[in-house]
Amino acid sequence: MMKSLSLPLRFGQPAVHYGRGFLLPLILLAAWWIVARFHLVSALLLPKPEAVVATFVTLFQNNLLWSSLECSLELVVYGFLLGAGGGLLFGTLMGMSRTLEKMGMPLFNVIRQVPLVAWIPLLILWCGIGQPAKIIFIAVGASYPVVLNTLAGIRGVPKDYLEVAHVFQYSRLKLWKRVLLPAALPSIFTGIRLSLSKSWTMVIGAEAFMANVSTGIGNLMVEGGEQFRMDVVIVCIIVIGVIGLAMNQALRLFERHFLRWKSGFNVENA
Amino acid sequence: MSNINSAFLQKPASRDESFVRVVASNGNLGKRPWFRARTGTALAHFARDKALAFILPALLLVAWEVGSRMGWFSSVLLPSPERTFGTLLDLLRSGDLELSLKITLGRVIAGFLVGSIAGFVVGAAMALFKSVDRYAGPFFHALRQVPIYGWMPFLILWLGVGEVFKVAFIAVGAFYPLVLNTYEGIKAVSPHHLEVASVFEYGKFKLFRKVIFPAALPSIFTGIRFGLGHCWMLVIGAEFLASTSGIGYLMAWSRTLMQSDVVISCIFTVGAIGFLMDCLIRGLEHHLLRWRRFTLSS
Repeated sequence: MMKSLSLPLRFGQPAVHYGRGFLLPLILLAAWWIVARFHLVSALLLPKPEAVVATFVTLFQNNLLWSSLECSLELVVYGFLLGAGGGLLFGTLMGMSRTLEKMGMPLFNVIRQVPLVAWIPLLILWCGIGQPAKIIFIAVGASYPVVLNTLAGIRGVPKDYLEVAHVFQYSRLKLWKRVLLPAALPSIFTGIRLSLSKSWTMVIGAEAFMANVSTGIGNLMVEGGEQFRMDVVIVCIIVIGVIGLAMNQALRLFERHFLRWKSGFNVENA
Repeated sequence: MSNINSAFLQKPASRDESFVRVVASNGNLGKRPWFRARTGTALAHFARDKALAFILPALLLVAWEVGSRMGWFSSVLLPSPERTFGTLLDLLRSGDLELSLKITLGRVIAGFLVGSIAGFVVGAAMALFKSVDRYAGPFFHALRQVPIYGWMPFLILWLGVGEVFKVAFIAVGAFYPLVLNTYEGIKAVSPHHLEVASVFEYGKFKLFRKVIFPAALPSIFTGIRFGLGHCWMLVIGAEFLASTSGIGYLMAWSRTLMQSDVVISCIFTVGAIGFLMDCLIRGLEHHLLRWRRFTLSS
């Protein structure tokens, strides 16, 4: 309990140490402001910080930002669920049977050698540039880390655990439910977290490479670039970064809550 | 503990036997299939495993061949295997592919070198100097949240669509993994090694060169492999959108012309080159870290 209370100020460091992290961004912000204020760089290339804030407010007020985010998040949710679900299934199947692993893994590894982006021309030929193509693209990228981490998690279950299950004469189902899956869960969660952050990266790529009438945040940003609206581009970059960070943190919290038995287990046996 | 264990293993009940098998196969349940029977030499096992690996690709190839013969799918969208393979050979023979690959590889190498060297320097500085870590660390991690493709419009506006943009964009891909892995590698250097170094009164430079850098090298190599993989992906992306040369452009252009056979040939080539680059780095790692295997085995 005490430990969690003193967590924000690790090792009794004064809060000023945490303020240090803000110094570099502040210096950069000041430099940006000075450069923009005295027109050292064309305003087209570097708008004033105030202009960026104003653009943010405008985009927020005319609902453009929110509707683009909604569009992109929808793609991420579908692609992530499809990819992570498929990856979990595939990884678990290969974890259940070494024969399946020997059959599936080499092909999976060969396919994985092709950079995801390289599939885009073929994907466009086959599925067009609509939402389904983007969802497939995101799903493929989202499935890789889940497959790898699920398989690694299951294969990494210590033999001792299986021996204990053997002593308790667990049935197959119980063995999976009580031993294999819980032991593999931390690794699976890592895969899911990587998968979600990858989905978010890929939705931006998908919208940039498969640009159509749909208006995601990636489209907003690319269009901003094409129209030489640097303020829009910067707003989009910041929003995209913040959303990515928020998703990662949310999943971390969820993971910590879901796997709280793990820390308890460690503390008792430490 | 071992007493209990052996007592269980000796018990001849059939239920226990099945569990011994479960334990031995680490969760692989059910009957052992005929091709996994524990008979034959190690070579036979190896051959069996390799044969298993070819089942799925062979099935896919057969489905592709049969499908294109029976006209299950449009030959425009998926040409027959022979035609695709023929196109690949043509591209290789005519030198088109070679030329595109040379241009693309040149960009990758330039971007990778810039990004990885910068990443190594930043990562090492953050790991070695606490103040750098405290001042620049949070900013670096905040910056890292932006997906790399998010930087593309920004970089295009600043640098145009020429070679400088491509090299900068590719460099970003190598930068992040190098910073993270250099940092982690240096932070994980064993305190015992540092103690030994202090006993020998190593200077700071010698300490870095003789102790910290070699100890962090495996982690740095992980970063290099990730970084090169990223670069290989980003160069294709950059060439799709902002280029008139290179293999990414070749793919995007043949996509516009609906030449699926060229697109598939290019995908194959891109995958193969990516794989070869990874093998190259692995080989280099194997060679440079041979002292590590030595100490472990002796």
